[in-house]
Amino acid sequence: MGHKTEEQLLQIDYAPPKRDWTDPSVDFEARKGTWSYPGKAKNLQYMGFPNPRDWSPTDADWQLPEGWEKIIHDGFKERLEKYRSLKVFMDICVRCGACADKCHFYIGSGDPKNMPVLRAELLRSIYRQDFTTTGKLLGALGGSRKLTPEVLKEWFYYFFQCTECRRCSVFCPYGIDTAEITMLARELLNLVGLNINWVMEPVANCHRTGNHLGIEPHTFKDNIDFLMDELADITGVRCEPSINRKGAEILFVIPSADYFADPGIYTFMGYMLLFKYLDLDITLSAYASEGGNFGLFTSHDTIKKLNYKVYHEAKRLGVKWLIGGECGHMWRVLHQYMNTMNGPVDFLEVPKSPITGTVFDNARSAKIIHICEFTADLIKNGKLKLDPSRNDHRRVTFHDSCNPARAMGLFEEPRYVLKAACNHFFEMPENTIREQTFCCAGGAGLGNDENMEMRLRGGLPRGSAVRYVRDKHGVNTLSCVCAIDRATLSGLCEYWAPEVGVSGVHELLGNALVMPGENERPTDLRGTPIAAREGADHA
Amino acid sequence: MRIVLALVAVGVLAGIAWAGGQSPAMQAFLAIVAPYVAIAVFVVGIGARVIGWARSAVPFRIPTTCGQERSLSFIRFSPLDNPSSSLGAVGRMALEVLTFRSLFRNTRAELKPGGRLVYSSDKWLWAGALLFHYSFLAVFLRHYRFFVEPVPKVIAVLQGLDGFFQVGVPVFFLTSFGLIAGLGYLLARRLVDARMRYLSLPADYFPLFLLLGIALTGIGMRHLWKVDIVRVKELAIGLVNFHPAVPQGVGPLFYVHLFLVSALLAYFPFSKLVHMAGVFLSPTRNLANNNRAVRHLNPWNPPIVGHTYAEWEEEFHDKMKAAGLPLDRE
Amino acid sequence: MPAPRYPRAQSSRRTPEPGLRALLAVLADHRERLVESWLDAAMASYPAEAQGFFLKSTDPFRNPVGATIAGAIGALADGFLAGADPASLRGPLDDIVRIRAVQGLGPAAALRFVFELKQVVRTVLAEAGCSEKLAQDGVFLESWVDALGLASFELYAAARERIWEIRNRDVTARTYSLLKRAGAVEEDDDSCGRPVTGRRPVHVKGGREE
Repeated sequence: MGHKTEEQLLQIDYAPPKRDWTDPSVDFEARKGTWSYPGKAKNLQYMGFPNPRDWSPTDADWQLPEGWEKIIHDGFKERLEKYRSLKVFMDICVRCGACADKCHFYIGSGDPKNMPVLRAELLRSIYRQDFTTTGKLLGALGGSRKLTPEVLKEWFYYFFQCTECRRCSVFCPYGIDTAEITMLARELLNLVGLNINWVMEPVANCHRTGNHLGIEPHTFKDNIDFLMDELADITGVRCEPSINRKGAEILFVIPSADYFADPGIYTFMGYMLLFKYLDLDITLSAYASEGGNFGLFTSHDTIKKLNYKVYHEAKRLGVKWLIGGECGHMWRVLHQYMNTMNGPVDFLEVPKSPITGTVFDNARSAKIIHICEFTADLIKNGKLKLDPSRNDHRRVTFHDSCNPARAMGLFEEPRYVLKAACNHFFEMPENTIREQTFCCAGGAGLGNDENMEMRLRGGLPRGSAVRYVRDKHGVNTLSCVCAIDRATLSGLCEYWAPEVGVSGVHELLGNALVMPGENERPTDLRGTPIAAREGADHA
Repeated sequence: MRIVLALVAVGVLAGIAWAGGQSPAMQAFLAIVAPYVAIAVFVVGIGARVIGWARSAVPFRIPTTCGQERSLSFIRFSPLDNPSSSLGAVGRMALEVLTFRSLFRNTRAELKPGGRLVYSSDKWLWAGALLFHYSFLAVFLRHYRFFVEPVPKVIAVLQGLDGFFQVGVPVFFLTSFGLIAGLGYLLARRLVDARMRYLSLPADYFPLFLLLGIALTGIGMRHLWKVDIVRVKELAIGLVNFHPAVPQGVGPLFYVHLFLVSALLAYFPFSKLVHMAGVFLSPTRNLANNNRAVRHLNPWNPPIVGHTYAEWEEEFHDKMKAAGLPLDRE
Repeated sequence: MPAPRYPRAQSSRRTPEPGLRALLAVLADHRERLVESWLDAAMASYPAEAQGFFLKSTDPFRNPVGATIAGAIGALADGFLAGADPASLRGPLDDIVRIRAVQGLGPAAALRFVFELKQVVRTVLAEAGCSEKLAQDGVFLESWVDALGLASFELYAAARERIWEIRNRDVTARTYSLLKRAGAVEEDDDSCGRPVTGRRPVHVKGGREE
């Protein structure tokens, strides 16, 4: 009994306080590592966004503009008329909870407001108050809340804590899509100058230079030359991709991380080897030097604005059709938005592979195909000489990136390429792949480093599945078709499944592709000895 | 608190009807005025909701794809989980509405000793929801027998099937049991699971209690405190033919039943129950995933022009020239 | 719930006493209760709405937090009951600590569960009517928990440090080829023993040495 006082000391306040969800308060100071820095004034100014200023979420006063309540109310009203999705999703949720444990952030954190139903309810409670009679009459009893600065802060916290991965939407009986709700909530937040710099800076850069990093055209060219030198050192094959070449048959659009970031550059090398092998009449563009589109994480108008360059450049160069590289959210835009926003493109032709003659009827209107569609067709028609044993040091699994998975349905094409290029391929558990794939937790502008703790939390479900195949099958390579994945999954694996690296699909294809006139290739594109694994096994 | 509130609300409604059912003036209100008003509110309300949704634009084609896209001829695609045509989208909606396809997706993996993975289905919510909705539909259709004379063959057959096991006199319907069980399950999971309790609103409990009230009074009248069916049928047919008369001697329980049904109908358009109609308008489910094949039109497509090539070249002209990149303007 | 990931806890060959201690002998009969209370104590740091979810589902992918912690607590408890050297239990301990290090709990709340074992043991013994065993073997319990606690400090600090390493490396990786072209990164050529595919260790010149 003498222990009693000591125990009492230990019993204090570790359990989180019990609060009703309608309480909007968020302690930003105590939650560092789970939110992103706000958009810098210069980026907002450049894009002509409202309320540019320097501020921090830890400030008591967020310097909202005059009349912000009306701005939000009117903006909400306008979007209810413009988007049936929003109106229907606001009205029909029955709060059945089927989505609750489908969000990687909820799974990793246990924060109940990360349940998709509640994330939506943060917006819905204002919708009820402002736009429904019963909500007005019943007030809090009907689940309504008044719009206060605290509610806006809560929106900022939780709508920049959703990666727009759409996993919850798969399980919802009405298809309520939190990505859609988050996109529109972020549009509202943008109206009063609440956004994050990791989105706003790429948006501003992309608008000015054509890509997220703000790479100017001469640097673009220098960097590609540099990568081609490295590639020639490794393979003995010199690729000379053309840039801004008029009259090429095909324009190739890729995420900028593919020519700048590790490990995206190896995927880029893979593309270049493939095009060289096929002697494809294809060009890159230093103007349309980014397929990724952070407008998707900002507003629909910004998507359209940034994506303008793709068809504009296709027309200027006089190409016939387009291929898009490995990038997740880029393909959300290219597949579900571009044709509607920036089309019609009657100046282009229906994509037809010059190698196999296959007509890509599924892209007959938008005139753009995914590189995995292109390559799978080549392999099927026996047009590529592959030596998959050159990937024998890789034991490979495939991570379905959210957008190609749930906003397109690109499941088999990349697998088809991988299985031809690698001898050792293993699937992760079935409730973590394809339409049920788990997010990298760094999409939708959240892949910045100040948000690292939240990313790792949300990355746990993916990490657990990777760890499972690592332990069971010795998997050491997580392949994917997304630039954000390549950036964020590297860190995720380092934490949750150490010793698993991340590769693009075309990096592995590039390893396996037997180029005419190539060197003996003792290493893969990364310079890792191909025999390394066997060596390690024998040792 | 939220639960109590909902329960009290239903209790008050039932109380009004119970008391009113014993006063002739109120009987007329409960038996004639309330049902007519409720039906009018229901029809107009739901109509207004659907028109309201339909008036909002569908600017983009945003289906959530849950299967392989249609692309290359040698890759099998999922016509229902990722439809490439409107017909496929209709099929997808049908699966969703009739079988609750999305709820059925719930699977659970379990890691057995030795690292073996075993998948089992986690379909309680799916089963509970299906049980409730189909039972409710059957009960609803069965009631048709009160409104027409002679009773159509279809309804008689349905009723026969429903009472297949011939338990009790009068026969106890399977769907009465299904309805109660379904509602009980849906209520219990909201009460037992802390997470569900956290996110549930009075508006989630209220319809459950209301429906339970309706079901229990209905079963009560059939099996325990029997009501003069002939009188009830006279009222029902009268209501349909716009010649209603207050029935004599049907007892207060019937008024409770009828008034709760009226309340349900009137409440319907203002509540989450509109999911019944809204599900058909969900853009992530009712559209084909073919935006690269068929251009979807945005009725308010804003005339936005991005940073043009000419503007871009203007800014980087000299650097591009030095780097030997092709230029439009020398 | 057995944790397939861990080898069955073996009775440490280094246990100084021959045979099990009186304390452990009693507790071994109440293993389920011990594991359950210890798990409850560990879960108390999460919101009530999440506890149910974490505790209910054993799916390691749908509920990795709950499944991992439950599995690891089971392994730690088995290790304790077997009188194993706490140092041999770093695997399961790391699995828990690594998760809790990114959950915004802070070190005290994140590692509290280790020390809760003392109270759990007292409660289980009290329920079994054997509180007197504590008088005999209390020192063992104290020192075992202390050793596990010290190990957990190390693992927690390592996890937090790893987060910073990842942040650093992310920054470099983002513009890797630019930096490399500018001669601003040095590659670590010492790839012996390094994973063939994991992230290459790079140092930014003039940056903080790792």
